[in-house]
Amino acid sequence: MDIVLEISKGILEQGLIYGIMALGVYISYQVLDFPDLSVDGTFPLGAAITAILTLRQVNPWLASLLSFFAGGLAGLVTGLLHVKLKIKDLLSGILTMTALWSVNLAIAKTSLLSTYGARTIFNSGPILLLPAGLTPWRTLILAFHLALFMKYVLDWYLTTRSGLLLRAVGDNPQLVISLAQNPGYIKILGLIISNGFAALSGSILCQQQRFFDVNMGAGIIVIGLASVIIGMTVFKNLPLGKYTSMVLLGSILYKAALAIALNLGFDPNYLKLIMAILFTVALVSNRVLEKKEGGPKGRESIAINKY
Amino acid sequence: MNLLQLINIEVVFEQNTNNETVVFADFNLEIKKGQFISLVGSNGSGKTTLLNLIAGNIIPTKGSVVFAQRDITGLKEHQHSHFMGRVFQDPALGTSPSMTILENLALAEAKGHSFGLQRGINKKRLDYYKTRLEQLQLGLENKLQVQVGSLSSGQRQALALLICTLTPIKLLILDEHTAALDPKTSETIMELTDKIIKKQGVTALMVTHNLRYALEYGDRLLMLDKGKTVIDANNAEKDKLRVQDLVQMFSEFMEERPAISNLKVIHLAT
Ligand SMILES: Nc1ncnc2c1ncn2[C@@H]1O[C@H](COP(=O)(O)OP(=O)(O)O)[C@@H](O)[C@H]1O
Ligand SMILES: [Mg+2]
Repeated sequence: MDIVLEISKGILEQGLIYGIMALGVYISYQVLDFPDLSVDGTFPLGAAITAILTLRQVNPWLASLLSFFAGGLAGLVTGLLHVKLKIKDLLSGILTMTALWSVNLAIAKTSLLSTYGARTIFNSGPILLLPAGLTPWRTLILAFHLALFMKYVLDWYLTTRSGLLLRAVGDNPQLVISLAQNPGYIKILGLIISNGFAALSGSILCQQQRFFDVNMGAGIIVIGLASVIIGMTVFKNLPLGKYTSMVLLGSILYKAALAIALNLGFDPNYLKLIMAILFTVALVSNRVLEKKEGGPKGRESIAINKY
Repeated sequence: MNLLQLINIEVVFEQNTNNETVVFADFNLEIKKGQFISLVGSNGSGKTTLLNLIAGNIIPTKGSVVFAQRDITGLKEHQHSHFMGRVFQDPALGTSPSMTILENLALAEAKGHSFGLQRGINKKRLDYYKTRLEQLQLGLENKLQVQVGSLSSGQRQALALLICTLTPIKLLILDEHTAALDPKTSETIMELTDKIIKKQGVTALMVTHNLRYALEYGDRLLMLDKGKTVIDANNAEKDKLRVQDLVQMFSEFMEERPAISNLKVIHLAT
């Protein structure tokens, strides 16, 4: 029983931490309609910055915040490559992702950096106010609140004028032009936010697992996309409110599926293969479900504003 | 007073290639403030290119576009939107399908203001939106929370028209905006368009394939052929024209250039 509890706790922790990255992918993939591979670089970017800063005694909350901004900066680069230099969306992300590999190594100065002993958001600051009995649950409690906080910030943002415009640009760029706004700038803004989320997620993961690994970004986009698609497919008919909630749940479900596969005895070397298979299953079932219901459009959906 | 002047316009697509197409060579047009122009012409005569030129979607290879005494040649398309609005043939282009009617209108009303972190939807404006939607007479006022993607194309086009004219514009560009609708809806949208144009006194340039609309609505009629104005009829002259006259003129141009099929025009005219 203890093992099951322990595994479940791990799944929830990981699902929520990666969920913040998935919220970022939700913005680029779902809202902006921009398949952005930069996250494979911005996720470890957040981790690299956090590892270096926390090792130098910088406040871990500040390190998390700086990671968010660094991710945003990388998103800006992807956006500029696409909008100003007219490079295809997919390729712009690949360029940033590739460049960030070197940047991340330059920041961390090594491919594997342990932050053991450094202060993190999980072992210092406000979390210490929790009663001693809850110590084993610290990570989960904090991850839960962080993920929820980011979700609510995103929900709020998407109801602001700027947020409405962001949703419009993915939907119909011509409308944005008609509103006398430059759709290119709006896309860039979305990529900044999206990669900020990814880098923050990497920063938090680095603090939770206490190391930075230059390879930790490989396949992040698959985890993000799978979380978004699984979440929006599996939970779309449940009264869960916003898509952002479904994305977080999707992230947890995806981590759970992976954990189950590994615990069934699959060799961890096959992790990426299992990830890809799970993602394929999610994609196909998504399409099958959509077909069954006669496509996403067609029926009058009243008052469900999920974004 | 001139609202818009096209001066010595040349538009060449794929210049210096084998596919070079000269659409306009030394084209001139003046649109007076308050005019409602209907523009007809065979396929490929350059109507859409003309609208694109005015909307800033394409930049002329020569000549200048002057709007309200200001040279706007080379301004970006979204910068043109500050003073003009456009309704497209495809109703999908005028609205955001995954957003609700309310959100679409809130966005439309924010045009010209900053798109910052202020609340996207101002609840105090709900009554105003409802009044405006009621004027469309499509029952949309009770569907504020409905996603636009689930509306019929006629409803979407009406909404696009409203979005376009919710904030003051100086010029309304209509690019065959009823062509994708069934005849009855097309009629409704056309009447609605006329009502809005008259009510707001906005200058309008309407491309239409429907010759009856071209004669019935507006106060000036232009016919374009191979990038040249072949008819420019003022209100009085326009009143004397009949659909048959236009069909006759179309077929004359067709005889000169049989390669270009004009079936669509003839069909719609009957
Ligand atoms: N982007 C483009 N590239 C090349 N040729 C074009 C382009 N747009 C229009 N044309 C050509 O310009 C001519 C006028 O087209 P258009 O303005 O669309 O005519 P209309 O709207 O009157 O049917 C046509 O011969 C068309 O093939
Ligand atoms: Mg055309």
